[in-house]
Amino acid sequence: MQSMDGLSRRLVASCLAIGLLACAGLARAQPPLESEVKAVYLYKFASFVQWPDGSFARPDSVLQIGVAGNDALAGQLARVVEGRNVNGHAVVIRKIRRGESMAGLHIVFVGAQDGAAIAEYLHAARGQSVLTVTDSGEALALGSMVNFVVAEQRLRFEVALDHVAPSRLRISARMLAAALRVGGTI
Amino acid sequence: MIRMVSLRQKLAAVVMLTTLAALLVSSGILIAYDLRQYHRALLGDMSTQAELLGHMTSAALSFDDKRLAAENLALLRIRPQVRAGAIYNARGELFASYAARGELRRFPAQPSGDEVRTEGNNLFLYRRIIENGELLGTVYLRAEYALVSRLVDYVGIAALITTLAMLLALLLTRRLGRIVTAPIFAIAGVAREVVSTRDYSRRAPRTSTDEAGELVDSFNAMLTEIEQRTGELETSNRAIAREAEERARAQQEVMRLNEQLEVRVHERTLQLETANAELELAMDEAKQANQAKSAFLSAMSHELRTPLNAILGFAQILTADALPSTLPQKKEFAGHILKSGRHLLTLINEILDLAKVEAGAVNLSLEPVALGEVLDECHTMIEPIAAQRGIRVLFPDAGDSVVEADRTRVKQVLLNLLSNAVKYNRDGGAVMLALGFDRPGMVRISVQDTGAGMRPDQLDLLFQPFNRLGQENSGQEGTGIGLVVTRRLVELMKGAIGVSSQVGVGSVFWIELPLTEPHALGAMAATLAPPAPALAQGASGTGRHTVLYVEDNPANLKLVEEIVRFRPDLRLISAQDGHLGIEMARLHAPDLILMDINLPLVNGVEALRMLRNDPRTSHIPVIALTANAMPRDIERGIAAGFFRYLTKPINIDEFTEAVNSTLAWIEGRDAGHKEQQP
Repeated sequence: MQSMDGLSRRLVASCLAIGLLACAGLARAQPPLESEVKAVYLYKFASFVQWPDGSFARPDSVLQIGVAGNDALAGQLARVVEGRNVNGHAVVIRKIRRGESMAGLHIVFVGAQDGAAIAEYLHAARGQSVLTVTDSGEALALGSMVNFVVAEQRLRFEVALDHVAPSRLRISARMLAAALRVGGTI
Repeated sequence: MIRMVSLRQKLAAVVMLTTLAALLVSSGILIAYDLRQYHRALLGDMSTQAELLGHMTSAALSFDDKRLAAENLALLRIRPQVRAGAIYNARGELFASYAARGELRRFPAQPSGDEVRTEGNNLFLYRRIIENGELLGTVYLRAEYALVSRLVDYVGIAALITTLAMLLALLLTRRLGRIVTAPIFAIAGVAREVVSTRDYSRRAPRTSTDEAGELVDSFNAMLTEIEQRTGELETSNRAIAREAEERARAQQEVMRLNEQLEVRVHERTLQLETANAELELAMDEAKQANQAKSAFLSAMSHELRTPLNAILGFAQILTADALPSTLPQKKEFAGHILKSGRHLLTLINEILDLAKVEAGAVNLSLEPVALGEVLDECHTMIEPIAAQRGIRVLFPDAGDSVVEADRTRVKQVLLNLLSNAVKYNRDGGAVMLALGFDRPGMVRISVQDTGAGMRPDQLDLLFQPFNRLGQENSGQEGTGIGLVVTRRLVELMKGAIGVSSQVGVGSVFWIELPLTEPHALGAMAATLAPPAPALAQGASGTGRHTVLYVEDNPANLKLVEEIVRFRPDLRLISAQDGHLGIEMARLHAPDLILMDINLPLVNGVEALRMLRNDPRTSHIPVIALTANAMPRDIERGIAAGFFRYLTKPINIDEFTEAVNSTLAWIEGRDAGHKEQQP
């Protein structure tokens, strides 16, 4: 039964994700699931972020996105990025477990809601050139760079530039302009 | 190409046209270049703008942030030539829009692919936003495309520049052109004066050292040459002219003589031609007259023979013993003879009248005649005849109109017309005489009848002798001469005659006579008033009166004897010639003498003079009884002193009246003598 449920959810999600991609994330007659929008946003973030030299071994090296604490979203994201690339880099999705190394990752999504878990993941990513994206109210305070929020029934995101600076990542002003809130200074 | 009169104008035209051409070409190229630049710059500018906008907006599109897109679009306000802009999402739906102040917020429903297009004053631009090979949306821009207004501005400026430049060029040409034209004008002026005055001693001044200066030198040299040649030519010309003049004079003289000769020949020829033409005309007329005369004679012969046939025929019956007839028959035959005789008489009178008129032997005494009197007389005479057939005769009041005419002839003419009107009228009809004064100085007397009328073709034949228009076999007597004579008489009196007729309605004959002033009419009327014989006393006369009849024709004598036989108060004696007549008058002292004119030995007129000269016979009234019936004869007879003038054939009534009135007059005279004597 559970597998059947998972299959149907997957089907719906994939359909919606394709629709989202086609219309660049615009609202549709049937609003997409929040997690699907999040998956698309995660992929889109890659276009507006510049990683420091050396983050990619070669110009055609893969761009790795890690997903922690939300396997469903990881699956959806995998379908979103399938056959697509960002600035010539193919995109690869990795599921992250507690205690796993963040090395080689470019973006990591921490889907956990538990403060301690979030802090642990963020801690692991600190000091590396990894864009940390969270989905929790207190996450920014815990050191997350980008955090999803829902405002006016739309999925928006906040950016904490204080946390971005040490990672030597550069987030495009265009993406910042689209952010709901930008904290700290560049 | 306009023809230029002056060199200066030509120069000005060349300069102006050159300037104009240069200005037109340069301004045309400049304008074209500028417009092209404008177009390219605008296009580039807008493309950049769209590219930038698309790049800026890609995040907004990626993260579905309409507010951000609208903010990005709002930056367009710093570019006022962009009138409107819009962002469409990947599905072609309007995502964000912008419109400059005062512009309508109207945008295409669907964006097209990358496209630039101009439409009137607008430039439309679509630019797709593609990132990572993925279509994010489309930028739409509408900018002001002021190519036309820019062109108009440039053309205006070019026109202004052209006008100013042309004016400047004109002024400069005026000022500077003189440098070129002045020497040429100087030569032209001198040349013009030389031509008009023929003074070859003039020279043009040399003011420059260029080609114009050379022209002046050549011109002056030419003038010198001409001056010399002209002098020589004039000398020889003068000699030739003198010679030519003499020749011309001689030639003119010859021509004048020739012309005179020609004119004379021409005149003679014309005279000859005229004479020839007149001769021909006269011959034609003579021929025609001859033919007319022959025709007239044959007609006359026929007309005369017709009544004579009746007379001789019935007379033969009466005298022939082989054809016994009763008394009523005899009377009837005598009636026929009488009627034919009378007709013959009328015929003869009229033929003679006509002959005289045609021969021009009629002496008309034109005098003022009171129309009223003549009409009254005619009325009196025509009324009884008309009354016999129950025809009413209407005469107008003539007033005191006076015509210039011969009294007797006017009456004759009117009576002819009136008797015709009665004769050819229907029984119980009417004859209407009317006067008209339509033409100035003329009176028109028209006689209208109610007869059968005439056809137009008959009217043409009306005035020809013996033509009775088919009335020959009618009961009406006539000769067919009356109207001919009438017409001739009217014409002789300077009048006119005419007729209009309608078949079945009647005819109107009219004559026109000249009017005149009624001067000296009273005296005429007094002399013309007939002596009023005391007829009343004629009947009361008693005792026998002796009447002497001088006549050489026994038949006539017999006739008068027969007439007098019925008068017991008369005694007739007779004489066969003039001498005997005079003797008998002296011997018998008759109361009255009847005298023929054409008598043997002594004619009637002579005899009368002798009787008048003899105191024994001078008081005896003498009545002429003669066949000399011409009016002229009658006039002459009355002038000679005949008491009355009777014409043969004898009308018995007339004869009786004349005798009676004479006798009455004698008695009246004798009574007067008796009263004076005691």
